Amino acid sequence: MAVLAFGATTGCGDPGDAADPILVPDVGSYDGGNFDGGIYGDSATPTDGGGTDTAVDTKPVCDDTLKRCAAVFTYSGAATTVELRGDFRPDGWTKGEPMTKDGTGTWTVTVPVPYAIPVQYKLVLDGTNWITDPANPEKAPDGFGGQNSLRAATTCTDFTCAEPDVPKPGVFDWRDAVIYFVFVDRFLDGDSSNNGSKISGVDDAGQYMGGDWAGVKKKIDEGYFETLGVNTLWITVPYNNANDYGGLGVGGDPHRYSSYHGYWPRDVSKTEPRFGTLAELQAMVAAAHTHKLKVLFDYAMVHMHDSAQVYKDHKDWFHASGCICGSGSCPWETTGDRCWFTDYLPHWNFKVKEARDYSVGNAVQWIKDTGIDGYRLDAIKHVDGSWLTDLRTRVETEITPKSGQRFYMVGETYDFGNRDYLKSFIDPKTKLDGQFDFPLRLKLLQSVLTRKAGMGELASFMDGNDGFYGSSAVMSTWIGNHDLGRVIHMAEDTPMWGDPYSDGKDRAWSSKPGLPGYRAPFERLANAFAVLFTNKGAPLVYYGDEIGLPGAGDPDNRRLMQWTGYSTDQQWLKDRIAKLLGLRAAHPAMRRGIRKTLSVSNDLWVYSLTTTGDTVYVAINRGDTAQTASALPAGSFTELVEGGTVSSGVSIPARQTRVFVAK
Amino acid sequence: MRALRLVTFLSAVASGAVLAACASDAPMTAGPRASCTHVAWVRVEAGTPVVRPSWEAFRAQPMRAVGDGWYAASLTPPAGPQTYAIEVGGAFVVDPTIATTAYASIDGVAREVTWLDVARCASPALRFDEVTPRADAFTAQATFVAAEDGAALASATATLDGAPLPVRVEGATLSLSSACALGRHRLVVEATDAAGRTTRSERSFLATAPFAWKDAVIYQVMVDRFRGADGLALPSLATPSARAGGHLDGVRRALPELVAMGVNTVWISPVYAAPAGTFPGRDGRPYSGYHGYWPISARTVEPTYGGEAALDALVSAAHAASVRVVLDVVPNHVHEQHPYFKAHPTWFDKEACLCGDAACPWNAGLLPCRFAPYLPDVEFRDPAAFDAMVDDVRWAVDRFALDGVRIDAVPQMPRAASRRIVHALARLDPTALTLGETFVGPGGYPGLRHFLGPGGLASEFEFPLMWALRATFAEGSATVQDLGKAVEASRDALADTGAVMSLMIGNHDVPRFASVVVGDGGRDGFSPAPQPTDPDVYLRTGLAFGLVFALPGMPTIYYGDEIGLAGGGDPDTRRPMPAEAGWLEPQRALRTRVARMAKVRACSAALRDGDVRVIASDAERLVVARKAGGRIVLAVVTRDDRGKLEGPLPADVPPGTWVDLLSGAKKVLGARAVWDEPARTVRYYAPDGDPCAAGAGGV
Repeated sequence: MAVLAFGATTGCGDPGDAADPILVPDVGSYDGGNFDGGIYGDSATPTDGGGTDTAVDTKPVCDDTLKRCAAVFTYSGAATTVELRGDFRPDGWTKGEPMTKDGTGTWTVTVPVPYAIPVQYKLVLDGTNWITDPANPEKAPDGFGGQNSLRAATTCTDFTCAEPDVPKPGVFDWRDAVIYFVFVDRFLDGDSSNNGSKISGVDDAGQYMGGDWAGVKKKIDEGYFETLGVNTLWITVPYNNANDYGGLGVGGDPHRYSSYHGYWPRDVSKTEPRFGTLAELQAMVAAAHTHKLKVLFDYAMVHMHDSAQVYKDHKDWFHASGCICGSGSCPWETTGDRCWFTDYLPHWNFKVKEARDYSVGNAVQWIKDTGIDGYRLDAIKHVDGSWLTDLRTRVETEITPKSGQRFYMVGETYDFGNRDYLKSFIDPKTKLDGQFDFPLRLKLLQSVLTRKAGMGELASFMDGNDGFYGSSAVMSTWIGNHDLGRVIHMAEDTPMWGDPYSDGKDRAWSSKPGLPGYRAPFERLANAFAVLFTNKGAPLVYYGDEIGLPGAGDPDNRRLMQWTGYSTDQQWLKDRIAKLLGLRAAHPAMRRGIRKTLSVSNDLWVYSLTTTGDTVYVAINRGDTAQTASALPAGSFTELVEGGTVSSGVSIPARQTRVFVAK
Repeated sequence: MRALRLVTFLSAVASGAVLAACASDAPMTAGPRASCTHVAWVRVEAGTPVVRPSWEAFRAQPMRAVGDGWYAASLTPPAGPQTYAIEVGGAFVVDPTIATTAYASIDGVAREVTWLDVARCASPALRFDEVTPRADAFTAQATFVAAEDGAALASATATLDGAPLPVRVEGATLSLSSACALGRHRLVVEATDAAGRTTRSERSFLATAPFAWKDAVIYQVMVDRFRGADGLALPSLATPSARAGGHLDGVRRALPELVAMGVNTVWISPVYAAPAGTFPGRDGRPYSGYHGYWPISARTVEPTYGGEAALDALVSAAHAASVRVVLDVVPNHVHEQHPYFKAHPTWFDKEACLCGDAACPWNAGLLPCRFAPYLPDVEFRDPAAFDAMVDDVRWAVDRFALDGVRIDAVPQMPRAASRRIVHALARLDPTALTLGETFVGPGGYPGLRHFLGPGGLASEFEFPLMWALRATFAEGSATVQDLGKAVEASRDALADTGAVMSLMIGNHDVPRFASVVVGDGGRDGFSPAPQPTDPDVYLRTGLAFGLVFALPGMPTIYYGDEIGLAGGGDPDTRRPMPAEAGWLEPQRALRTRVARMAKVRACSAALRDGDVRVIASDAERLVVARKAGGRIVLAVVTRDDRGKLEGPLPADVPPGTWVDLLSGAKKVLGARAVWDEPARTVRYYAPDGDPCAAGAGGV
């Protein structure tokens, strides 16, 4: 304590003792910091005020997929040995957990079970007698016509963290999928003899253009897809459509279309002749499998074309006519499960069991006949939920035991905002594996392409979105699809459509857009793909987007695929996508890792991805000027996109992505 | 205050060493005496500081090194508001022992300088040590501080609201007490010393049942949009930016229903006279001054709200009902029709840069920007402007017997401004609430902290928590576990500020919570968002309120949020309060739930005073333990119930039977607790037998 003596005061007082002690005041340690300073320059008080140190949190922290909760299983009956078997561990059905008798004669074992995931199990008495748990009324179908006991999903505060699983070489996991959407009619005409004739009254853009499965197989055999780096093909609806019918568009659209897209089924038990024969379809799938590509079919279960025999024979399997979606008494939002999309598309009523059995049975039959690996389920929100749960049950019962592989089902629920609603269809045990991530697409578009929001908003959305749909969901993440204007145009300096929800149909018939003639849109689209390819999910490439194919909304976004005559910008984009997908394949951290933002500003997002044995750093600059990535750890890094050795403080050029691994 | 403590110390020392007799033979005080000296302090890392007092034309004077980097200088300031600068190495710093600052022009440049109001050392002074009101009486104690020559106290008188009040004097200590009615009172004490010199000091206090701001439940009213003079609902607006016709009498008539809902404080929007007609917003559309944030007068109450009479009547009725009144004040700017603008052009910014423009981006700190071209920004570096804006706030609190202020646009003003307002109000009533609007985004604690702390605001709006509540319950873009982390971050970031924060789920500057739930949050403010019909919207709003009422701070209800009122952007987020007859059933149910939460909170010391611990959480559930003394409440908020959450109870939370104070439902907690409450529920569990349980005597 310091002491200071002062001289006299004025007035009546004694001049004062030179030794009058004065104590240094205690100013406390509150630190209000600087608030941007500003021109007034709020003075930070010149004390040594320090912040309070927060105690280091020593609780384990890991992704939900790695958390395990301690669960106690008991059995009170008579037995010589008791073993617990179940899906609490990947090999838990084949390798059980022995239970031991406690002092009261009760058999018991405590095992770690996955966080927030229900567990199916059985007890094995005396080595051969498999029973359900008599003390647990909850059951689930066991896929063999019987039942397992079901322990409801729990979370816990005292979880432990399991080691992250590393993908086993050679074993396919849907978390490693990269999906390419092949719009068959517009892809490649491999056999012109099945093209059929034009349909009168239908505009050119709505006619069948000749693409077929022979064409797809040709590209498979050429290695087109492996070179690009995708490993899963989503094929448009393969079964027979009303292929001689010219129908008016939905919602008052005055143009006429053919069923080139496959969404107007006429006979679901046959293939569509304009695409090929059943043998050609099977050959295409086989070729894909030979090239280590998985195949998803598009399955359209919502309606039939009114020329379908099944409609004529079983009108009671369908909702009554007279309710057209969007008309006065039948708004989309409230009657979506029964309104007819158009007056020629009767809407299935799957509350009728026979109708459901017919449709689900057909969906299962296609799997058996072609060996496909999954389904993309069109407009799944428009049918009764029982269709989906029945399909999943039958798949798990009839398909999975023979294939030994997870059958992937991804749903399309067209909603950019309501994540809870999207999530309601996802439950790998009983429903979908995932959905197309519409809400992510909106944020990705706004932060990376149209630049209306900053990268910070994308980063914080993704931090909250990564685990939102459940730890075992596999969402398909995407930036472009067949229902919106071609995404290259949203990546232009001035986005072609100001409204991020616009379907782009305003230019589908006149003022159709052309290929952008400058590099920037291609770089921005590559950045958007970079976000998808360096994060979890099954990213989607819509045919043509790998070369920035131009087009406004439907049907202009389904132009014939361009195979030659690429501009340098188009070639650059394709090469960049291939490069990024190559990195994704090589780095499990991108597919399974936990992301951590190292720095984020409006233009630049730098993050790390970590899994056991693999850590990767990604820097994405969406700005039009170079930015410095100074948040990398100390040390040297190899840059994997363009090459070279760098360290923190590296400059990321405008509209570029860079990927680093520590040397 | 630091200076005061030093004076006490100095004087105590000085008086110990007795002094030669003065010219007068007046008796000497045994208590403290004023000192004509003031010690200026500073601590520096390097260099030698000098002090530059304003009363010596800022001429530099040396400071003496005391050790450890500290320097001090003994100054002899004249009485009244004075300033001094401390300069070291060409930089200007302020004295860390004095919270208040001002701006002064030194060598032609405006600098922030230390500001203090110096007592006349040649006169005695009175210092209130404590004023303790109760609902029907009060006690107070003051200390007589003798003039520098030490003449003792000779006589003292006091009045309460102008009527004489006896004073008991013991040595230099004056004690007062009296019965008094509910409401605000003015206590004036005069003391005369042996040399015949007089001093006068006054305090304003509110007599109510024991209250601290941590016990407040605030209802935010936008006067033009609440109720008409007759207390009835306002007609709906043809144009959302027009005047709706709300009146202060409407607020007054609503007091009984607000009290029944559990509200004990009303924050009313600004009541300055407002310009007639409309002015263009940033969107080019015409806006009237319905909201009150465009003052055209310093000290006139807007006639269409009922003028001074209506405000007086509101405050009077509120105090009689034990409700406090907090007024919204706008010291940052005026409307161009304000007389200050014409009379004192130097009081305002010179270049009208619009906030948010490229030249004045929002995130570049405190630039002198205007919210609109017709809203000149006050230039606080002009001392006359600074003093005027502070004094206008002090005047309003004094004139209308208010209990506090909500200060608009705090970060658009220098920190000195809000600190001087705090100081000015504290001289009259140190318990006056100073609730600053420091609009920050998620995690914006550094900004909030800057204006809190010793000498700073007593309270601010907890914007980071509001954003977290919306993300989890309205948007669904964050988990309930994320919200638990936000609760802990709030606790840790503000712990040492001493602030009592205002907790809200929304306010007049953001889209209504209920509309965000259904995705109408981005709706243009001129296209009214529909009132949702899905009951789940109101259940989710109830979750957000459920957490707000379970946390430390002042739950603040933006009018209409208690019925999940819809609204997109400004001005739809300020639509007139609808008549009760038109409320949907789920809206009524929400209000009933909120009223129940307020009632339980009023009963439960654990909810108001307890510490905050998140003891369990997962994606959909949150369990927060609130413990105060021997009482404990576990607040459980459940968004979805697709699974359950388990975990061991902490050692100090006993297993056994617990009762939900909100519904009376019982729950048995084992040593390993299982949280399986249904979706969309809020529970405030207390150990069975807690006096605050439904139907128990206390509630």
